[in-house]
Amino acid sequence: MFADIVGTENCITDPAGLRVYECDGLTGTRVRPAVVVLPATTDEVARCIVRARERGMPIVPRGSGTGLSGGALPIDGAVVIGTSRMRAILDVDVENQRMRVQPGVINLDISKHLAPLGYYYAPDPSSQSVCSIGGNVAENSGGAHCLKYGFTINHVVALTIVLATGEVVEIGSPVADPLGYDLTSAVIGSEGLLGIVTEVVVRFLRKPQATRTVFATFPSTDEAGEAVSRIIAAGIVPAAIEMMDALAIEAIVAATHVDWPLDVGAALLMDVDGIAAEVDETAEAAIAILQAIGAVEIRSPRDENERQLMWKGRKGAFAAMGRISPNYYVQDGVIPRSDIARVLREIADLSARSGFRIANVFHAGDGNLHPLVLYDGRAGDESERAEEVASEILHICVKYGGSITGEHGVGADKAAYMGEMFGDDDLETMHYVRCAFDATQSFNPTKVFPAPRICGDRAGAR
Amino acid sequence: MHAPASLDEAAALLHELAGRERTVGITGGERPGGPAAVAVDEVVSTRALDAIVEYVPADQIVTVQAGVTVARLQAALRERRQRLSLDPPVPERTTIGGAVACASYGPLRTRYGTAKDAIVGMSIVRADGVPARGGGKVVKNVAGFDIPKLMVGTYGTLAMIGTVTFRLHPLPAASSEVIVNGCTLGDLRSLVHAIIAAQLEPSAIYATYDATGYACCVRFEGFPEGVKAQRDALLALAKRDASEGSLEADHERARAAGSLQVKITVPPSAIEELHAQAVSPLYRALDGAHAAIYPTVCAAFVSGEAGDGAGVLSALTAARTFAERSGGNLVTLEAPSMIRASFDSWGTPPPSYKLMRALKARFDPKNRLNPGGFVGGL
Repeated sequence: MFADIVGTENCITDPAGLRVYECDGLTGTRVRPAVVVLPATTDEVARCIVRARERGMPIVPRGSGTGLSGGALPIDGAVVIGTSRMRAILDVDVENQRMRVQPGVINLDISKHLAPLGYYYAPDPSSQSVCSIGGNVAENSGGAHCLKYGFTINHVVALTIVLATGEVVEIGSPVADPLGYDLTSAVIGSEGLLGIVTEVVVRFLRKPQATRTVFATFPSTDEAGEAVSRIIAAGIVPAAIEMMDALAIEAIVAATHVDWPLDVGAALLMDVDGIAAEVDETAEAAIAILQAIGAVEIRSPRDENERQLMWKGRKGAFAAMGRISPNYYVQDGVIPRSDIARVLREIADLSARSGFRIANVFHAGDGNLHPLVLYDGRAGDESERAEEVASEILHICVKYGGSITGEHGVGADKAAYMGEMFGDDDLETMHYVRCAFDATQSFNPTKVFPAPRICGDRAGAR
Repeated sequence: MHAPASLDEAAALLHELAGRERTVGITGGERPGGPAAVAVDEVVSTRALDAIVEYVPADQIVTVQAGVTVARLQAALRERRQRLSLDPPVPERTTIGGAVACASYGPLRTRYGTAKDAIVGMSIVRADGVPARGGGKVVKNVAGFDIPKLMVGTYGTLAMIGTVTFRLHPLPAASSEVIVNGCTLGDLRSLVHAIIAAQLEPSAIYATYDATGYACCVRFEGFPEGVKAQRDALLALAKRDASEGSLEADHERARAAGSLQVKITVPPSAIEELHAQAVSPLYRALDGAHAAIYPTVCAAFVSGEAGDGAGVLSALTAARTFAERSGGNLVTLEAPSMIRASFDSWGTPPPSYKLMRALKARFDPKNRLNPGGFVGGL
């Protein structure tokens, strides 16, 4: 029913082909869509949307399918519109530090493309070697280095979006201060509820003069958390500062070739970057703080290869859990940075109480926790109980004034928790935005909002 | 003028005004409405909403009410050696709510971006008098649509800003400003290229104009060794008359003196033309003119007195035509009524205007908040 638009080979309806699209990175939940289409152009996307609307089918946008909250989880009877064939780099404007790309372009490929010119794209989610920029826009993706450099929303200046009506609209601008409402801020992080983005203009940055990486181990997460607080209090803005607890270190060592010690309670991996003279000064200041707090060991990578290996270890941490547990549930919550040590103790108590091992690997600099609840899916109701433990962690985050998601999104997974962070009036206000873009609610209709809401006709009220 | 003393009072007031279908202008200062200065039935001032609600230095997060001035907030933060990296003009009178509603910024935009880049949460009072929140008080948060960032630069047309939560930065331990004199915009463009090529990381670059040419100020901030290294590097690569100093007073006049204040943005490729097509003609047409340029942002600011207006109008029209043709725009941030009567403050609405109208219709269905005060009569 879409083959005339995208070609038979890009219109998937056979059960075997559809299986691939039954879930995203949230693999525990699967729904088979009615059809998957892979358009190549903005025009094809628009025609697919119009066709889906004519047939009353819900539309689920999909990038690389690496999302961890079910944002690309199909809905019964839906058409999944995937952007994996839209991988063209359309324009690079070096002087303006802007690049226009199609949404299926892989995050890391942007930086690879820019590397010979001495530039890079800052947001670096751990999945950056496979995730798409369109998916990053939908989720407002961050990554380890967003502590200093910000999120997708700080690095995307303009978008081409196809609305539910099939209209193609340019929003934002590569030029500063575009007139009117900042619609890019509405679309970035809207989790595929407002339309399908078919072009993205990113802002890229000059590579820093120098980067220094420091790895330190501690007797427990208490000292590691305290080290993070003191480094920040000293006026240092690390590019990234990541914490791993003993269980996370064990998994990473098992899965990769990093030679990290196994007899420690926690480790920090920190980057400082910028002006060479300043990087030296701040790295030495940070090392002095680490020593004062009682770091067991402090080391710097000998060369760029070892540095890359350390970061590969960190970025592969989730997948590494497979080495120490048959299954794991990834949680994503945020707490005020100064509460890290307290919250980690609460999570340890929860682990002891519930009997589930919980590994912690997270962006300590901005309080973005990623507790991994380890379980065995073959054993009775462990899967459900692990999920309950993970949800308990979200309650702790909200209790400390944090957030139910720092970067993985609400999607299908956390819609039910939105009411814990926001009141009905807050959600209604967000719903205004959705209705302004798509009063038909054709895009990802069951996601993000905890309960269905109608878009009453307010446009005619004036 | 109403001046509610709490957010509850503000909500009750806006609810009552909604019931009576009164049009409402919101202001942190003397008059509401932003550039277009449209007439409204009721004016709501945020001057009594002047509390710093919560400041947690360890988290580098502050929540303030809309009526707190930028200067007062910065003074409070300075005591804990932190700052909000946003420096709109006239900080003594500019309120946080005003700076956010007008998306106002200063030279620190070079490194730190706009209000949007610093905001992590917000509470608003909607047109119907209902209070609502978005975001939170942690730097990283993707729960729900980003209402706080959407509110930046809406000029009081979607809702009243109640409180704003910002992420903060450490106050730099050292700072140095280098002035490079006698530049054309071509020289400025080359200077920016050289700074980028040398991987320097200035926190601010701005230039002021005085009819003989541009003087460019490059500010470095951070730890002493890095600041010194960058200053020395710049002095070496400037290849012309350069020295330490400051252009703050000239810059402030270009940003905030005069009854006509114009902002022009263009892409970097048009920056050399920006002088001949916009800055120079406006500078000559205005009495007591001042001008400044942020070369990395590619924004120009010209201010002065419009006199009888005739020459000014043609200069404004020509400059806008140039700016819009290059992909940018020209906005009159302040203008005497005589100019406003025949020259639209905003210019041609963008291609996404229909979506903007739809958004306005959802947030303010009876078109009561600063009606007609924004782009294309939004």
